[in-house]
Amino acid sequence: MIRVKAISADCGTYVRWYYNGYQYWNFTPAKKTIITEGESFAISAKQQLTTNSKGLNYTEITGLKTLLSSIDAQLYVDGSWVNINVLPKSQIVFNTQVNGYEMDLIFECSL
Amino acid sequence: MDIEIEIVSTPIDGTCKWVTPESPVLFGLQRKDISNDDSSPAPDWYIDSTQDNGGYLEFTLSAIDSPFSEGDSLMLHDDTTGEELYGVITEVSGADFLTDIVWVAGTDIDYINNFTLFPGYYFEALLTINGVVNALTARAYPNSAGYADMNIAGVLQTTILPGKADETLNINPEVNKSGRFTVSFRPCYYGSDESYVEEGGYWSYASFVRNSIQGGNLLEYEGIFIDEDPPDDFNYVYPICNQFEKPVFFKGLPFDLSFLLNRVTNDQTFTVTIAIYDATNTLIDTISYEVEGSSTNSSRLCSAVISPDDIPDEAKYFDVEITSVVSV
Repeated sequence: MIRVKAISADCGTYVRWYYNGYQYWNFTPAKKTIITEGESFAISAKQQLTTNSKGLNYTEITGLKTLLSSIDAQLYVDGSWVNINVLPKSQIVFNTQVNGYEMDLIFECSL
Repeated sequence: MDIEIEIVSTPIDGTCKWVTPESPVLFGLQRKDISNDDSSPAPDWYIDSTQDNGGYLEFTLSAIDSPFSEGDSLMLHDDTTGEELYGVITEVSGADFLTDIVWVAGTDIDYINNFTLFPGYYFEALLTINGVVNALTARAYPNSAGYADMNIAGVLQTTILPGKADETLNINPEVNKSGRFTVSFRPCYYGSDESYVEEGGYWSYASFVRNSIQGGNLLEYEGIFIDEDPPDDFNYVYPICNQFEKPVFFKGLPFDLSFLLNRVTNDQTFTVTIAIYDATNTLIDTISYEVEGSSTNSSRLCSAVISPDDIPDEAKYFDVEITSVVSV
């Protein structure tokens, strides 16, 4: 048996990833940036989502860290899932000593 | 001649045959070209005796016309001391083979490997994964004593793919992350055409990251036998595979919990029970749904879906238990 905490989620950046089973987490609403590459032709654009999660306890941050090792992560958008990359070196995990752990990170996905 | 391969060890833990291709999946194989095992089915030749002949070691096979011949380079394993003895056949007389190894009283040879007869020897493993013979094979090269660890994790890893399973059912088998397989082995050497021999039995695999202390067996995630109620039934409870000590359900959003489902029969029923509590720790609702076992969800990592519609707004937490009953 496992106990699951139920909390409200009116908004946010909902992500799932595979690491020894599927894991789910709702990060804060993301700041969206469009990254455009290329000059006169073959231009490609990607969406970057900068988000975070704050006030985490030790067991939560331990579970969340597995996202950084997953190669199969998806973002929930308008009722369906899209594949995302967690940008390397975008993840910052730190302990505020007062309000618990925080994690900042950037997701990248196709437009 | 039939070359014997002895399976010395497997990745089994207790009775658990779940393994992860993220860790080494090792089968210990022992090469024994000719041994002293004469049990049925009897091999064409086996070692009948070991004796002293003029101060040198001589062995006698059970029959003449073996492929061993003068000048062959051998490794003879002494069952008494466990030592490997290396030498060359210097004389053949019927079924007697004299070597250049100095005789030591008490020597008892239990198997012999012939380096001249089978040059370039290695083991090959063939996997049948989810009923399909895999085109890739695994190889392992034995050490001087004829032993090798056959690691088949790499072949299994080729079946691990990104992407989640169909999410239309209450329990969804994760076909990209798990499955079952059988394995067979054969000896190979220059010019060989040996047949594969089945290791025997089904194994299951699921993509799990484990450390070297935990090992590659997934015993701790396997369904646990709990009791017999009624006495003619077998009841199992399934550990949840989750990295959070307390997973978080975000209300209104899709959510599921993963677990390893053993090989099951069609008459096996799974029950997912969800007991929902409010902020005052009062049970406000209990939901359960049943799923029948089938060949599609058997031996798979499965996801038990928790529908957002089932969890009311006043819920503070809920307990999930996955059980099954097998009637016998």
